[in-house]
Order: sequence, then structure tokens, then C-alpha cells
Amino acid sequence: MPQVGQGILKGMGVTIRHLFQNKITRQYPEYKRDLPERSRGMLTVDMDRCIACLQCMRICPDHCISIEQEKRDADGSGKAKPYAVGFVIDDSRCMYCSLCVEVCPVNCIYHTEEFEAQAYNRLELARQFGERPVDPTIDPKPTVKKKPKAAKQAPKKEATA
Amino acid sequence: MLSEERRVEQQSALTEPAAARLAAPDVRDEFGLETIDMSMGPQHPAMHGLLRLILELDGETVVRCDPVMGYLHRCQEKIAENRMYPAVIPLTDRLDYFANMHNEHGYVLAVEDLLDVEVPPRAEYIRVLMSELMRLASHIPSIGFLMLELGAFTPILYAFRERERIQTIFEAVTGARMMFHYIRIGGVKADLPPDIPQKIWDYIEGLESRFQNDFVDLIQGNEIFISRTRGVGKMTQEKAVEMGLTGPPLRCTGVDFDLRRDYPYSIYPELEFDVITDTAGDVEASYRIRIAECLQSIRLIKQCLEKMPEGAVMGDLGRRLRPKEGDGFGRVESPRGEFAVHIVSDGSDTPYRVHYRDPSFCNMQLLQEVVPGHYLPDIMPIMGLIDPVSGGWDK
Repeated sequence: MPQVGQGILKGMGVTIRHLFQNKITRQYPEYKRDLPERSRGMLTVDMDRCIACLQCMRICPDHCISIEQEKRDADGSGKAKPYAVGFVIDDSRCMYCSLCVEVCPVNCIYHTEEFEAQAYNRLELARQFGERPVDPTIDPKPTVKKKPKAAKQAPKKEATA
Repeated sequence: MLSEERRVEQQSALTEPAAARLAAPDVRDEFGLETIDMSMGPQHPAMHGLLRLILELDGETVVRCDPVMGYLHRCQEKIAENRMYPAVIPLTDRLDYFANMHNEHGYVLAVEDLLDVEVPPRAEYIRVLMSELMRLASHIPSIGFLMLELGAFTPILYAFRERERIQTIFEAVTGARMMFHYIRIGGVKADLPPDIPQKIWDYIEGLESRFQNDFVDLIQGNEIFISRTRGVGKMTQEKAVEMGLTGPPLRCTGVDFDLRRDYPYSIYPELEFDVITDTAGDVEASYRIRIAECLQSIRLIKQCLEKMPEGAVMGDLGRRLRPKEGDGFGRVESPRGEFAVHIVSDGSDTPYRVHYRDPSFCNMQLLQEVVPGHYLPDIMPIMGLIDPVSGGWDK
């Protein structure tokens, strides 16, 4: 039967043609490709612009941002404003969803092109940005499911009556 | 070497149940041999993800095949109950990690059903464009995986080269290669970068010619491929409908069902495409379906790029989403079948309950019905017919 083996030979032809094409693999640690503009790498904070509004901390689904806030007259206007003394981003929890970047009103938290986050210890991945270190292991926003509306309103009425 | 004491102990422990089973007549065949129980996976080099199959073997023939799931269970549905509506979208990316866009789209359709938001037309076009690119990036490696399971290593390399090129496009549009978080409630995160439509067009044009050379010529007509897949995993239309299959495993039996046409969502009614069916209902038919659906996706992407209107990409939404009490439902045709999301809202800013219907999970019951009677090495091609993803079936 002359037809048996024809399909295999046709496939071999494809692989031989690929043999003479240019290589598409790259040697990663030596050669790093350019990342696109929107690439979401590790987060960083510009502390000079931060107004300690805590919106990034509240929106973060993985609770990886913790901020210690204090009233301070930082710009010398004679008016005490919220000031972030401690700011920690725990990269071992972050999933790079970019919600904090979108919510920031002064664009002080943003993604860098850094993506090689590796450490021997989980705590090394917590990066401090403020003047005072914050413990990243404390959950800044423990998840408690809200009680249904009816249960919430009932004790209020009792208190007013 | 075991000590004499321990050997006696072990033998008595082993022989007692074995003797009892040999005495029972239903586990012995005409030669006086019994069937063997064997566990395949969860850490099996050929297995799709973390799946364990409990097999009962009569020689090399499978008598019983029970899939055991749950090795990658991450409580996705429960975690979603504690998160605000927009913060669940990055979680849905982690479900079926070969079709992330479809997961996002399904969830977002369900929330939009609750909220009654108006989605701008440009956003709808971008969603469909991305979904169809995702279908290409999922179907092409599926073909490669099927060949890998038959022992051919070359197609998976070609398949991942194509997937890599699509991922580069995704990275430029969304910022991430797999966990996109791009489709949002009320639209999409950002407009396409100005140079991307031309890049997609160039890629699609190149893929059309490469597809015939690299995948069809390489695989179709190969004698080994035909002998391993033709007639394997054969099932009838009635059986497929009874089992509730969707996607390529259903269409390869000849049932003409595609959510994009039968329960249209987004802008699919405005686009032209064919629903591909086959009559054989075996592994080879599912391969032919995937090849043909890739070409349909190319057709859809071209139409999206040609017809794409100008305008905003995000609808008008409040800052904090509090949908009214009720149910929301969204379903999309993912590469593996029907992906559906059901959300129950109690009026707060977190969902009361989220349920995902994942095609990988629902198509898995094909194993119990179809595998018995096949040889042990035929299990892997049948897994290639379903093409499950462990993030999908375990949630």
C-alpha cells in the first residue's frame, strides 16, 4: 500500500521546514524583553504625594497594603492633615490586580517594571515606604460579613426608645 | 529484609481480604482472574492538572472509571461572598486559567444583569475581540495537548508559540499575560492602545496561512493520529445531551448548539459566523471541531476590527456598587463549553452568593460513561476530547 505513511511524511516535512526558520526562544536572564507600557509589575509609592486617604488600603482585595496614619502639619500651613507615617506593601499577598492604582486620587501608587520578586522569607517581601515600619502580618481589614439589614436595624430602635 | 515476625504479620494482613475477594464469584473472569483497582493521578505526568481517576481494570480494559476532584479547591465561591463586586473579577481570572476573558465576561454579564447598566458599543466590541483572541489562545494549545497525550511533542511547541504571540497582544492591552482583570462592570478597563488594532490584524493574517501549514498539514492524515483517535470515546447525541455536555464535546456528536448564536449576548447577533458540528462523536471529531472553530474565531476577529465604532469604553457607574436585591445571571460560550455565573444579591456591596457553572466540571462526567470498555491508554485521548482545566473543575 503506497498511501500508508504519507501522512507521517507530510508532517515530517513541516518539522523540517521549521528547522530552517529563525529561533524564537530567548535566553531569559541574559536577555530581557521590553515590557509594554501597561505592564503591571511590583507596586511602589511616592510618599511625598501621598495624602493618606486610605482608599488603596480599603479597596485592596488581598489586604496587602497597611497604612499607619497620623495628624500632622507636614506642609507648614498651620493645619494638621492626615499624614502616612507608615506604609507597607506586602508583595507576598499582592495579586497585581491594579485596583489600588485606579482608585488613588493623586496617582502616588503605581506599578513599576520590576517583576522578579523572590526572597527566602515571606517577611522580606513586605516593603516599607514610610518613616515608621508597620507590621505587615496584621490584617488591616478583617473580613466580617455584614449582618442582614433587618438584624442591624432592630437594636437601633431599642436604643432610641 | 523484613524480620520473620513482621513478614508473618504483613502476610496475614494482606491475604485475608484478598482471599475473600477471590472467593467472591463476581470479581473473577473465565480464567479465574480478578479485576485490579488502580489509581491514576493526581500526580501523574500525563494527567490534566490535579485529577485522580479510580480505575478498575480487567487486564488492560477499563471496567470502571471514577474521577475524584478537589485537589485544587480554593473556595472561590466563598471568598467571593466577602469581596465587593468589582474585586471579584480578578478572582474569576483564576478559575479556568486557559479562558480568563470568558470567565470575566460571564461574571460581568451577571452583575450587569443585576444593575441594568448601559455598556458602550465600543466596549462590547473590545470584549468580543478579546474573547475570540482568548478562544484562539485556548483552542490551539488544546490541539497541542491532545497530540502530547498521544506522544507527539512537536505540536505543543508550535501551539505555545502561537499562544505566546497572542499573550504578547494581551499584555500590551491589559498589562498582564494571563490574569488580565480587563473586562469591568460597565465596560472595559481601558481603550486599546493605538497601535494594537494593526498588530492584531497582522497577526491574524499571518496565522491564517500558518494554521494550514503548522497544524492541519502536521496532524491531519497522520496514520498514528487516526489509529489512536478514530472511534475512541464514541458517544451518541442522546447520551451527550443526557450528560449535559456543552462546547466541542457536544458539537462533535452533531448537536447544533452554541450559546453565541442560540442565546446571544454582547454583539454576537451583529457578527457572521458558523456553528461547527461533526457527526462522528469521537476524539478525532473534537479535533476537527477545534480546528474549524479557530478559523471561525479568525473570521470574528476580522469583523470586530472592521466594524469597531469609536467612543467611550466605560459606562456610567456609581463609585460604590450596591445592586438591588435579586438574582443576576450571565452565560458565555467559553472554549470548553457553557460558562455561567449566578449571583444572588442582598442589597449590600458584597454578593450574597456566587455560583459558577464551569464547563470543565460538567463535561467531566463523560469519563464515567464513556471510558468503560476502552483500553487504559485511550483514557488520555478522551481527556483531550473534554480538555478540562483543573482551575475550572475545582474552583
